[in-house]
Amino acid sequence: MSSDFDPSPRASKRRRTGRYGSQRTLLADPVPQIRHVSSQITTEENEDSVNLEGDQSDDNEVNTPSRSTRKSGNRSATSRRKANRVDNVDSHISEEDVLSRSDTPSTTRSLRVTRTRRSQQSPIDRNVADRKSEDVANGNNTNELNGESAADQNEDEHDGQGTPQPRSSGRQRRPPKRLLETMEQDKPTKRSGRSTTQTSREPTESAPASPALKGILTPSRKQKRGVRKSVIFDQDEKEIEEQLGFRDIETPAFKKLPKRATPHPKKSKAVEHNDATQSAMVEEEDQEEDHDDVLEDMLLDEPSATVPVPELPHTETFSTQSLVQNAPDLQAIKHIVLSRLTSSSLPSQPPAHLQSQYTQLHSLLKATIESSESNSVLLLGPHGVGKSLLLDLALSDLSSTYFNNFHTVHLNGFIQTDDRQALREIWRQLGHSRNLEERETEDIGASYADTMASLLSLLSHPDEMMDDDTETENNNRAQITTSKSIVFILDEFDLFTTHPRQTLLYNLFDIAQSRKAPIVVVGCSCRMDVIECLEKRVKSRFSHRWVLVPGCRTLGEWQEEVRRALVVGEEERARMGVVEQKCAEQWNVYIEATFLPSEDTQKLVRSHFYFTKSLPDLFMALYPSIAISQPPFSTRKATNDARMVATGAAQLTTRGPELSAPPSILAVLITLPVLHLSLLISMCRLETIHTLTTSNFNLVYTHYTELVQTSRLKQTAFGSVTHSGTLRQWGRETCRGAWEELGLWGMIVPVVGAREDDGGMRGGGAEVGDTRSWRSEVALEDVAWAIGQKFEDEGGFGGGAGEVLSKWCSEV
Amino acid sequence: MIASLPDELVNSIQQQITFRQTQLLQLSLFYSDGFPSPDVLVAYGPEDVAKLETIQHALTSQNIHHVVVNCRECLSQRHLLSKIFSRCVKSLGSEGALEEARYDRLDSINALFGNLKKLLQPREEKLVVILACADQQRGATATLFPALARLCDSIPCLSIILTSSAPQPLALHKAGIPYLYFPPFRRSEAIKLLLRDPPRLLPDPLPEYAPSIKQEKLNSIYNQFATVVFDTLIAPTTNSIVKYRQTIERLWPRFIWPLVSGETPTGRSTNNNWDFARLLSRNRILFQNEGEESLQERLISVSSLPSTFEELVLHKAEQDERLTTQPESGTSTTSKSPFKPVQLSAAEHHTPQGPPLLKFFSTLLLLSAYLASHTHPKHDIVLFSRLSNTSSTNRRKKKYLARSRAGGITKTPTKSPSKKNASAPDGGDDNDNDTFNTTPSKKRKTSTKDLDLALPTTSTPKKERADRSMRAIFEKTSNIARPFILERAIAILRAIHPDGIKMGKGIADRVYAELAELERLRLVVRQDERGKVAVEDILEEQWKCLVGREWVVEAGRVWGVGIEGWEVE
Repeated sequence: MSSDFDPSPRASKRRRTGRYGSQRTLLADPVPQIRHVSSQITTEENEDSVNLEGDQSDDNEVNTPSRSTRKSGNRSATSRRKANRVDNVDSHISEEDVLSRSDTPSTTRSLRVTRTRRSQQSPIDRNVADRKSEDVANGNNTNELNGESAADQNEDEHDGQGTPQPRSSGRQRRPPKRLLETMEQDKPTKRSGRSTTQTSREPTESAPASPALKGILTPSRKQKRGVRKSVIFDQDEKEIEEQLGFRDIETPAFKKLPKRATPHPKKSKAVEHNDATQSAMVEEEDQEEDHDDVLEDMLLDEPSATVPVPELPHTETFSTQSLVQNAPDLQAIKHIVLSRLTSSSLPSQPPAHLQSQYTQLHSLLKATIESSESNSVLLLGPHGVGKSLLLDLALSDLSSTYFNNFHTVHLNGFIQTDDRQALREIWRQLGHSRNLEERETEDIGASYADTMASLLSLLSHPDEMMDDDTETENNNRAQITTSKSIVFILDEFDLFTTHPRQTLLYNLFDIAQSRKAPIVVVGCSCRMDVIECLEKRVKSRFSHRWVLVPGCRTLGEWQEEVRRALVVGEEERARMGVVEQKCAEQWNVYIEATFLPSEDTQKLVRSHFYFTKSLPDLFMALYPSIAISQPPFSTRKATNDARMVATGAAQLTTRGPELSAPPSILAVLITLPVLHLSLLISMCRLETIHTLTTSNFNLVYTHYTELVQTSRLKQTAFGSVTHSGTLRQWGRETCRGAWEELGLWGMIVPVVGAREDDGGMRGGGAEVGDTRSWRSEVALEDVAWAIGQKFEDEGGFGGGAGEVLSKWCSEV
Repeated sequence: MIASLPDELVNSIQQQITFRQTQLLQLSLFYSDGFPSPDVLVAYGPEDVAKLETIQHALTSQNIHHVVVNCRECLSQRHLLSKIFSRCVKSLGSEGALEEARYDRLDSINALFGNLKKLLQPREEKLVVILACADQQRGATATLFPALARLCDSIPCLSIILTSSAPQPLALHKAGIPYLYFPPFRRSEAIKLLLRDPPRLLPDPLPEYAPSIKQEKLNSIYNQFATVVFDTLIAPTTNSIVKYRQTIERLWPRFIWPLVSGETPTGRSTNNNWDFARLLSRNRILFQNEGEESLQERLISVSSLPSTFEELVLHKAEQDERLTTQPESGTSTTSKSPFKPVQLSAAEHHTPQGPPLLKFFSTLLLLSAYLASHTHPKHDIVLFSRLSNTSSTNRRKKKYLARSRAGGITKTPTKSPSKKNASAPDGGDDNDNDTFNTTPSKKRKTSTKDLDLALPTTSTPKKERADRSMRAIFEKTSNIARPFILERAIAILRAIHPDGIKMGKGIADRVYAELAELERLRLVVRQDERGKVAVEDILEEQWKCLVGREWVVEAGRVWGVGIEGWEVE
């Protein structure tokens, strides 16, 4: 009987103290460091509202129509890069210097653009597409081919195509065509113009059996059978359809979804409703206008009413802008700049102070792709310093050169929270998800091992895999140049080390180290000691090559970076096409002469340099002022407006720090009502006077009433009539409400199980209500400061309340 | 782009979302048709500051697709993930394609990532997912929100807005996230908001006795009323505009009632009209304790007074009826003191409506549990023994106790009564005796332990005495409930039962069932000794009362039993 009613307080035990500690560190640290996430993510209960069953089929994998900004195309030549690398890294450049020679890099920028690529694309693609459809049809016949011929054929494809396919992003998601030729085939001399002599079949029949894997680890009971398709395949189909007017394979249904331009009907209805109520409100207000003056008087009585409601560039500003900004050029320029600020497009070249790191990374990747050297490297540096930027730049540069010779697999420690998911993601990104899915539905447990095994075998034995891979290649797109490398990018690398036994890392590093297949493992992390997190067997397989990515060291570098981000270079201008050169120049002049030197911008730039050193943060703070800025060109009328808009932008910019500052407890403390502050003071006083580290509501309330009564007594004793009724003693219930709100807002945190042998504090759930012990998150000085701020803000509203409260703080 | 907004649209938004222009402007800069938006944006600020509404307005006005997922409604991380996806699918209108597209099962963030990618890849226009109250997601793992913030990295058309009311930053581990602060409304803003959207100012079918009231006058009174309520009640206690509105709605009918009911204002006056000052002085109580009561949110309203117009009309009708039954005295009383009827009715209504929560026996048990938790065992013999009930009065005992607490008497009074073995005459008396004899020393230890948490352990003997006295003070004020064993509760129950329990009638079995009931209601809690796996003997189980004194007193009053006579303090 006794066990029936066990409420088990243990179950609801909370771990607030841990959270507390981490909060403190976060608050103290403007650039949050990745914490060591020790807990393994467990799968949740089955509480789906939508149960989307179904196999993932990569039939539906469609590349987006290109996000063109991402593909920044060819970068400047390496010679230039070397020239740039002249040590301006540590040199302290004064701001004038920066500004004076600011226009030089943009003019020297080489003009190799994707436009050329695009112009070539369409006529060739047609041929390619034709041939490809044949090749696709030839799928099963390729078993007869030996590796060499297949490779040659793929070489042909490569030559014929000449230019890279447009991709949605800089990333390459292609099936793992493993087909590694032997080293002698690796030479580029093999490129000859041999055409394929394959018999063509009906395109619709293309459902070739998947190749049997021959890895040693492959379990024999299941052979992978099924259609192997890839992303590229689908896109080719799409192109065929577009260009030839027919299609051979059903396109996935969801391509044809109607895109709805209008918002959700429910939403619009809600808006209408709001409109209606609003108009009613407005009418009512009109009626009340006469009586508002009475109210205004009352409001104005209080000093707080003198604090103006923040006025912003209102309708005036909007309307003036709309006159000018019809100019498409300005829109285009802003688009370029803003997409750089939101890091949705890559800059044309790496930041100057990261040039050596970039070269290092680039050469490493290049070695892997070009000469099949396996490697592993860690990029270490704080968040937002440019690790991914370097990587993306290098990859996009390499993809323009070796556009087809490597695959990229992106993994993120936050998203792929265990090895199984990571493995699935690898398979998915390599275009093999269909096989995986079928097998997974049969048996989940076996699936992981199988997947791992097949992945290992795929990567381990290029020679044995030859036949199968050529087959696969022919299925998809017969096109092999050299051995294909895979670039594994592991973002938040430290989180992968928390996975049990670090299986994934072990295998990846093992492959990389034993030169089984050309892969490069690039880990990004902001933990400097991430190496220490690796197990011994993993660590020994790691190449111990790491690149430290530092932030800007000097203010000069910092300002140069900002300038480069805001100025429109020749390349981008040409890429966007629409922008006239004159406009771009005017924009640059505006940025360099007006925007950057302006006081508000400088203040923002400097404060970010000294406080966070995080360029993305600064960019976000600059975003609104760039979006609203109005350089004086194209119309004469605009010059007048520009001043007005500039003030608006300035106002926004001065609000900038607010925009980028993460919330802090102290900021909230100011906004607390008087009662909450009084309770906090009482709590902190208990802590200070009686060295009570924890207290409960009863104690605090008692102390609060004592304080109020004492101060009242004093007031009456000194006969201070002026301060009569300043502080009201609130009832227990009201105080309890405030107390609960304090707990809700995190001002006070409950203490759980602080003692070993406590009879009373057993289990967090056991103590409820008034006797639960809490600890204050703020100190008495903080509260005192907040009170000072608050009553300064409100101009002494509340009479002597602020005075009394600050007296409580000081008289300990 | 903000500039592409027509002026009238801007104006209408600005009027709808009052006092949020800064945020609105920034939002519409960040989320516009032409320009790329930031991947993640965090809107933070205390509750009830129109975060979500502002965001929705900004997005709607720009014709940007957005879906809202309230994290507070999601029971688990997986629930959240599937909700995000289903909302996205719904908002794109592609439910039909679900079957064909064969999405993954949403069991992890990775699956959501893949599915969203599949869903949104062919898309050009933006889709904004708003995760409201992200800080209140249940069961969120440390990687959930960082992962969600990174979804947008590879899905270019997606961006995410998180709203949070926690003062702590969300740990997103990402640089370049704009944080948009929504401050609480200022005084003038809050008042204007309330003035703009007033509650019902008059009862709907105006009672026939009501004089005609000019709308202007009513409005001006309401304006002043709202200001006064804000200054007296709202500003010191809360930031919430919702609470402000609630309070106004609760208080306004009673405030304006004298005017509506046609009561004549008291005091010497040239014109017999109610104005604000008179209403204020007439209803001063509304801004004092009763106003404070209306601040508190309860499931069942404790306030006995009629607070809505309907109740007031009804109340008035009843009152009139009563007056007609007693025609002679009625007129005089009302004219003399208008306060009286209200007070009378207050007394009438003071007993809570509805059936009591607990049965009589359970109530008694709760009382005894409370007493057992909050009485020091050394006082048991004085307070609860049969001796103390029957022989010399409680009062004398209490006096003695008070003196002993004050330090005058050092001798403990437990000797003689415990020897007489009179506390529990039936079966369990041996145990009771043991309890009484042995527990005091034990209990003293635990009771001092209770505050070790709060008090630092000082080793210097000099401070020890000061500590002890302080400890006593804190013990008293902090009201920490001490654990007790079942025996003691039963003994106290016997003592405080108003009718007494017959000799030889065992109640222990019944008590245990009732105690389990109380435990299920979380009024008492079972407390095992730390370290021990399980307690074999139920008699050694430790219990503790969880509710405070007011609650117990309230529960006892329903049945007419109280604890007042049984407390030391």
